Amino acid sequence: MEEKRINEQESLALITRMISQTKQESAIGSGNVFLVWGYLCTFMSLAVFAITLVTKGGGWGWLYLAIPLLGFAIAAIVARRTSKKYNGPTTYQGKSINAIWGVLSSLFGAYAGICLVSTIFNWGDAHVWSGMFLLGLLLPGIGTYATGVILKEGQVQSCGLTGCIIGLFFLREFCNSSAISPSWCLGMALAMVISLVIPGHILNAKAKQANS
Amino acid sequence: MMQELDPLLHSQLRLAVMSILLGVEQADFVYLKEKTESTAGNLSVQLEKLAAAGYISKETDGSGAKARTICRMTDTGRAAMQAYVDALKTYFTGLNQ
Repeated sequence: MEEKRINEQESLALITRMISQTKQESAIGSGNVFLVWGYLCTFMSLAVFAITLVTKGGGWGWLYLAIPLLGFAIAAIVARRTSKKYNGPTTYQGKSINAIWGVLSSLFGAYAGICLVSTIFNWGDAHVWSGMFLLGLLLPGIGTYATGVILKEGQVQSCGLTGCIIGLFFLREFCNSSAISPSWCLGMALAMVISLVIPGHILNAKAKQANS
Repeated sequence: MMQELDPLLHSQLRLAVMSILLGVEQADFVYLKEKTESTAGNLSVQLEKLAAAGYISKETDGSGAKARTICRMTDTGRAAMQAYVDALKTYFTGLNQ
């Protein structure tokens, strides 16, 4: 393109093309964060289930606490690689989605902090940590649903909603029995695949399609 | 009646830049150069013209070889684009009649 005058029709066509091209490209790489957290939570859940089954011992649920440590480290590496490969613009959609996930992550972190303080000062028992499991089942679904609404992606919304519904069943079960059994790890793995892994692949496939 | 089009926007490269910035919060110089398929020198001159008119704001992020020029559309620019599109519509009235 160069500095030249254009006619009215060309102006209209140019505005339309540029807006639509920018909108399509802004989704590139957005599915990767979903995949990082989704696969990490799924594999960790399956690992905890398998180890508990083999060792027949409890306490392996503490391995879940490795998820945020590993997740933030891997997500940072993936984000850096994506930004090196693709120097995309900052969109309003992207900022809104980041803000939603920021709030949800903060809630999760805040509850972990409360549990840690409770444990240190012997304020309640280790059972309070079970709430992390429930938050882990419910919050990703809410975040995915909100992301789907912002991106106007019906399939992503459905995945988020389904993940939330699975979480609700576990909430009911938790309130009923107040105990978490190893089989819950399988439920967690299923919820993570539906809430994060599938939407991640959907977003990446659509971005790839738009960019081809 | 057909309205006069803003001469600053009625140019291929400047209009392309403004259209890109309309849909995003900010975009850097390299991205704008790639998307508009323009030369760095020409794009730089056109960005200066848009910035001088107050349609966009430019800021440099970082320093040295890693410095990035980030461009954002201002409220004045947004209003100018709105007026430009409104004026453009007057050229097409009657097509549906």
